[in-house]
Amino acid sequence: MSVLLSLIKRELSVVMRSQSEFIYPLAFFVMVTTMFPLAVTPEPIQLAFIAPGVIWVAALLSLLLSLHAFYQADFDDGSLEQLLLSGVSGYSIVAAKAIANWVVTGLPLVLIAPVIGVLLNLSAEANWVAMLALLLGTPSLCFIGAIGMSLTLGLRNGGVLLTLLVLPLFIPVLIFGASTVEAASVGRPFVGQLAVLGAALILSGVFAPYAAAAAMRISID
Amino acid sequence: MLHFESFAEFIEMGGHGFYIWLCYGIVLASLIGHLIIARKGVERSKAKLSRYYRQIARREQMRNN
Amino acid sequence: MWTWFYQLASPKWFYEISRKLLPWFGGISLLLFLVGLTLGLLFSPADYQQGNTVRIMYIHVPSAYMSMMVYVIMALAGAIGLIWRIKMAHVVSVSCASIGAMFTALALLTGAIWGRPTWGTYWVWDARLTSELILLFLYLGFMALHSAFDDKKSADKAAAVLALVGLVNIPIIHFSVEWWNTLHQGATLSKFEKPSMETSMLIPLLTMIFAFKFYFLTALMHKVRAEILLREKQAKWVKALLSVGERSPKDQDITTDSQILESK
Repeated sequence: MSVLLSLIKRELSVVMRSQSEFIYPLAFFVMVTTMFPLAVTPEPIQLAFIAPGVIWVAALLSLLLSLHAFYQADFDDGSLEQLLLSGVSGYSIVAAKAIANWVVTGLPLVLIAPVIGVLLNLSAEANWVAMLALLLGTPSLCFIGAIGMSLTLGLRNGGVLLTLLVLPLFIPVLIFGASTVEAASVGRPFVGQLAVLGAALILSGVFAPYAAAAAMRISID
Repeated sequence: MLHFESFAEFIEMGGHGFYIWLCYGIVLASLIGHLIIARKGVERSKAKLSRYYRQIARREQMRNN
Repeated sequence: MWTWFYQLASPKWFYEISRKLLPWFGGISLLLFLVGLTLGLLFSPADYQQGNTVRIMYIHVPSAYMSMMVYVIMALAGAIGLIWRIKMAHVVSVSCASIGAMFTALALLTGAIWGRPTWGTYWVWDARLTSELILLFLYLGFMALHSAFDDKKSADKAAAVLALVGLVNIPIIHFSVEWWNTLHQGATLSKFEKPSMETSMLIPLLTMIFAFKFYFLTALMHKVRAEILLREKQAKWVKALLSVGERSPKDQDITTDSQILESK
């Protein structure tokens, strides 16, 4: 546990040095969500209709973009290999990176989501539910994204391939997340979907690091 | 036993001929095409290998000379 | 008994036995196709509601069925390669991918064309279609990832990991998409209902499914053979295979070599 905590501290301290890592995904999220009222329709009722999906897709894409910052640099300068060689388990390394990724990118998304919800005319209750759904869903996306990122670490055009690989894996979280908010916005029960999001978080949190660690070792060889 | 009275009826397929034959055409063309490509793959491998061995042999010759 | 099992892992053994098996598998596949197509197109009844378009079932269902079966084979072969470090398992896994992707694309295409006259639309975002589309993405991702690596060994292992993660994900995707669809009660719920089929339709369908299976094995064997040759290029048997026909028969070479050795 203390190994994990010190790893997380290391991740966060590395990231804190370049504060742009905080801003870029957040700015991306805000800009993308803003494009929809401009491109589709500013009609309040229709905006509220597309809001759940738009928020989730934008959050998903922002997290996708933020992935490389936590893995690529360590891989490129060899510190990832050094960490593995020093006996730290690949599982802990991945878990620490995913958690740090969430704290730096996911958490701000969750906090700013209500603002976006207001912009997209989401009802107050749906806004709260959106926050909660994102709170449960974004960490899963970080864990699942870790798998795709670890697979493409050593590749030249890794970024493009990453998107192709990771999107099918994101889809269940996307579907349940968006339907949670959609259900709340029309007054239907949403706790079931939230429970599934929670289950997805537990499953991905526990199992994704195994796959990602295996993938990391393959990339390093 | 035969479902169709005439060949024309067979092609026509009760008005749905276009869809049915389009499907069968695509599937059969794809299956045959893929199989041909797979078979040619072995020949291509052999050709690649022959070239590779000739290169090695040439390098050996140059080293010996 | 176990020697037979270990033989499976030998590329040379596979290359030689596939040469003998190929004409048989290919022949059986061709025969089954001819029988299945004849029965399906000429001798089976039309559907009460759909009319003759139901005949598309005889190529659509086998394609969809195979698209899923091949993915499972691909993932399991990858797992065997990862766990027991067997090269041949990886070769099989990688060779499956393009065939499986083709089956998936065919299932989607024939389904869409079938949907037009029967449902009135080419595409519906129902659970099965959406899951099948995502399966296509998984296949494409597998092939893209494998080709992105320079080192074949790493490529094999990375692709195997991806295939396994995807395997776990397939029931999840299907389940999540199914629930997503049923939540929107207003939307058209299109559940493909397979009633207990009458024999005159069941027989052509089963025949075609087996035809597709033997086709898969035939195509797979060709691909595996091509891949084996490239990967085993340093092996003596491959060199011998390629030099036969180019120079004099093998016996003469051996005598020449030993003569040279003796003279030294």
